[in-house]
Amino acid sequence: MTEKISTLLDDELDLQSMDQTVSAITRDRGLRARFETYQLIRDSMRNELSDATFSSKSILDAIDKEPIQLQFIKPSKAASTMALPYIPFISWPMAASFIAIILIATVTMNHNYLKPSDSVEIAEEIPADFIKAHQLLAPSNIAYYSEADQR
Amino acid sequence: MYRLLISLLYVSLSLSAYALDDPWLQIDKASQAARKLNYKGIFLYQNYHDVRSIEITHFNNGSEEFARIITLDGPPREFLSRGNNVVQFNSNHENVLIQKRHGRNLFPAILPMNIESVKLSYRLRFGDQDRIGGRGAQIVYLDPRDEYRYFYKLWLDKEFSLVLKMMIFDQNQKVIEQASFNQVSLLNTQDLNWFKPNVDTHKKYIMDEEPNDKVSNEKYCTLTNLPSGYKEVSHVTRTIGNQPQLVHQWVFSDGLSFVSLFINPISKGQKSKVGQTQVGSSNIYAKVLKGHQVMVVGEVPLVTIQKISNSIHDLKEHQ
Repeated sequence: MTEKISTLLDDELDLQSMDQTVSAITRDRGLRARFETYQLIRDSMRNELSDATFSSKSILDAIDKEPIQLQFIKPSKAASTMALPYIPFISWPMAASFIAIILIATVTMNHNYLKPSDSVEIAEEIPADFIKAHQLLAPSNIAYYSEADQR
Repeated sequence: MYRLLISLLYVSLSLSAYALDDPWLQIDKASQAARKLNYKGIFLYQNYHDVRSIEITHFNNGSEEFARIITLDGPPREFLSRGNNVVQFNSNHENVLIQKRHGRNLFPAILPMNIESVKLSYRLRFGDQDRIGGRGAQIVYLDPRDEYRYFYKLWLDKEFSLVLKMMIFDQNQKVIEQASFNQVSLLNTQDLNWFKPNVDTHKKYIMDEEPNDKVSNEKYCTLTNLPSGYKEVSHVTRTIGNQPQLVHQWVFSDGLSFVSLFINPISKGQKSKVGQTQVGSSNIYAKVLKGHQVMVVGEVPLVTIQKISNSIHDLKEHQ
């Protein structure tokens, strides 16, 4: 199947085999993931490094032969974490006070956020986006060999 | 046979270079050796407190360069380059991010192909002989002619002139950056079977957004009185981070080091950035000029960064 995927990526598969291979990829989640990975890597290198040295076969050859581990998507817990716990002993006046505190805090925070534009010292707030932009365009050792973007 | 011919060529060049009076020929040979030789090695790279081992495989088929660079410490990172085009594979716990980039002047090819700019800004002197990665080396120094650049100490392979080790120092002799081969050998192969990425099928591959920079010919402002020796190597417009407005970016180089100048109008409600700081070996300086944010970033002395920030003229006032 690997060989067929390779040939399919290179647009060299006959119509019948193409149909069978596409069906197999569609049915098998693992094959589908692998096909997408091949395609992405092949395309990324084809544009920048030319396809003269790459065939899909060469990439497939480089891939570890062990089977893909299927990853099952766990049910989202967002709903349960977003919901407030139900506390039956809180009385309405207590709840109203609580809400009022939250409202005051929110208004204060928004006030701070919306205050007129001013300056910030870069020593306190490192301009990481500018460092990254510099490293992307300036071909230096640090841009490639260091981990500046993760510091 | 091919390897033998290349070796003989370099040996003969080596001998003739020593025989000639011009010492800069040695630097020119070092520049050529990193790009024309076929070699594989592991070197240690240090930038500030960040130290890592890196494996490099380099091949030149006579007309083009191919290289595969792998970081051996920390999160796996891999680069495949052909000419100046680089595809980077950046792996974390779950994903592999694919980025397209451009690269030149990476160790051991730190010297530019045309060394004239280096000759203008640095003085060359020869030091002692040493041994690096099991190979005999000649130490050479590139001392800056002024305060706008750092000191370079290079160990050149006595036989092939390849840069085996480099150290960059500031004015106080503090090491800014260094790289040194632990082991290096010439490649005795003509095939490119090694020129492909390691693929981890357990991870999801994601293509990073292409840089949105566009070459700019717009005369946004006048740049005068730049630090001597620094020339503009590119001028682009781009967006940075999540900010929607276009930023002008210029990159200047003296042949060995690079500095970026960013200028953009400050939007209403946007906080401007001011001051200076250091991140690793990068110096950063920020100021506000006529309603514009000016930011200069580079692996150069702070005085260079400040001089570049003062070189901006004819900038229109932004309300």
